Amino acid sequence: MVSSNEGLQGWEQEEVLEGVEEDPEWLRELGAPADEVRGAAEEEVPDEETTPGLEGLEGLVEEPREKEGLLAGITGVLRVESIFAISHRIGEVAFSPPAGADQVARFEGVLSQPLAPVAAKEQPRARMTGVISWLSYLILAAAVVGGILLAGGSIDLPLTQATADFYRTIESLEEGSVALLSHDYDPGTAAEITPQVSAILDHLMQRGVKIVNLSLTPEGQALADRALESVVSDHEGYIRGRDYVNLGYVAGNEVGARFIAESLGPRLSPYPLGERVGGLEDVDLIVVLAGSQEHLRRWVEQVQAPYKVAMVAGVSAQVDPAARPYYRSGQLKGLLSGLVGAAEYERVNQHPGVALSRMLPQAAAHLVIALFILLGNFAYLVDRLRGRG
Amino acid sequence: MKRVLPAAIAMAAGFLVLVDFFFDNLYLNALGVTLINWVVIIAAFALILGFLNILTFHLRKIFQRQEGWPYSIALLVVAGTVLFGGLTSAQGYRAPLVRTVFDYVQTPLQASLFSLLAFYIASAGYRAFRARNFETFLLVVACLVVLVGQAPLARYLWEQLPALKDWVLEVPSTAGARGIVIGVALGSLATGVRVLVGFDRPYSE
Repeated sequence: MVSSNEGLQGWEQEEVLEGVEEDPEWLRELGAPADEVRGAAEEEVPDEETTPGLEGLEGLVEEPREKEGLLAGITGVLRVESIFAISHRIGEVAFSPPAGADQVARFEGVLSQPLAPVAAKEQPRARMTGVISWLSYLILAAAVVGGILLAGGSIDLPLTQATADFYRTIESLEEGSVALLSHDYDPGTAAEITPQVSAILDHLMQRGVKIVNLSLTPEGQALADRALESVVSDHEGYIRGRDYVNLGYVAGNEVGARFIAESLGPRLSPYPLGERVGGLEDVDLIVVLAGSQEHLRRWVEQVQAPYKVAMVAGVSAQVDPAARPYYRSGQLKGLLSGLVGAAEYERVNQHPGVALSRMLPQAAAHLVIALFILLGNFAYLVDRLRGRG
Repeated sequence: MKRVLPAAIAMAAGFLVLVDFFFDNLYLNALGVTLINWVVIIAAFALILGFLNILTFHLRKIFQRQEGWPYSIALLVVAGTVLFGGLTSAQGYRAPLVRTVFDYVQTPLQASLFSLLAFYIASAGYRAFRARNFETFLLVVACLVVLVGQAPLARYLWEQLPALKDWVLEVPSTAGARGIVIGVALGSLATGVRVLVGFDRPYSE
């Protein structure tokens, strides 16, 4: 016992030994002094000696495996009886049930309690969870499909202040002004932002504004091309290179934004539009189309703050909370948020497009998700009232 | 020398760009712009290095028949196709082959992956989003107000709901977001100063 405590500090050894000497009361009642039992155990099981004649057989001797109770499947379990039984060296005394035998019986009873009912309870609960998941998927899909099929009627959207400010900012641009659009999103958020881009481009072209497009994300350049192609076809007289360009992807993230601010003129020099735009000082408005807050922050920190250029932003709904401080501080002159922002813009520009037609399916999906949250909380409340939560 | 030289170069470049930010001087501005141009060029080359890294990683995976190696073949075939289409056409990323892969592979895949979120949110909304205490109760209420208030039909449920949604977004949400933005800015400032004075050396790790 003491040898196993080698390496411990002196005070630690004292604590360990003190703990060993304190036998529980029910063990002391058995009659055999604790020291005697411990001494006998140490005599019978030598630390690192093998019984003569049994060398090499250690691995062959299989210890019994428990067949029931909490310890089922575990080998080498010390039997409770062997701990509490009276040593045979006191065997001359006639056998009588030892004191504490009832505690032993109770302990064995606890060990042999079956586990099966607990597992059986879990199975229906897991199955129920799976069913609820699939049911929620089906209901949501049905709501979206139903919304798409029923869409077509006009929806009267309230106009938010942020969208109205965005519209007014573009409306204030004179013919021949220059706007720089940064398409910083990817196909994942394109469903929300592409309708915004279409509505903004449409409005800019109505106003006769020259448009410089670029992207700080690799996917943005191709998405910008798609949006330009779809809108330009409605505005005859808008010519690539003269009235609008797409400079493509600019690497470098934060530095890419600064690079554009410092070197826009040389980048535009190969195009006829370059004669009109010598640098950022000739840009009247920057429109950031951001699928993540990092993209928006890049433009605000690296370009808007140092160069004091007017800036507006169209963002996916998830970026909205991060974009609002910039809008409230006046760094952003306007803010479009998600598909709803695009729909509001289409409405205020009196040019209904894809965003307005998607409002009904989106509204249906929102309401279904809200309903699930309410149902979940109702179920939780009922569980708590029944004492299971 | 191995430690001092990179640190000296990084500190000098950092200070130059920082000083250029605050002062309007022709020479400083020219130096700053040159450094920024270099970074953009280096970032573009880093993309090539990234592609080579992916190439070696997945080739090794295929040759060693590691788990999921057929997916590596798919990845390399598509990457090779896009690269070939872009390099062999004067139109670059507008080449028909690149455009086809982008329009019919990348765009639908990314959009589908993002769309799945709606289904997971619906399921999670029922199973996990519960008002277990006062804080989570507030969270659930705010979520419901914004979620339903965002829908165009919200005002038919309650006329003041869109206004309440705007208030949640404009006041408590913006206050929290502003705190995060200021915290991030202070953290960036501290990190920048540590790099500039040489306490942190991310470039030599």
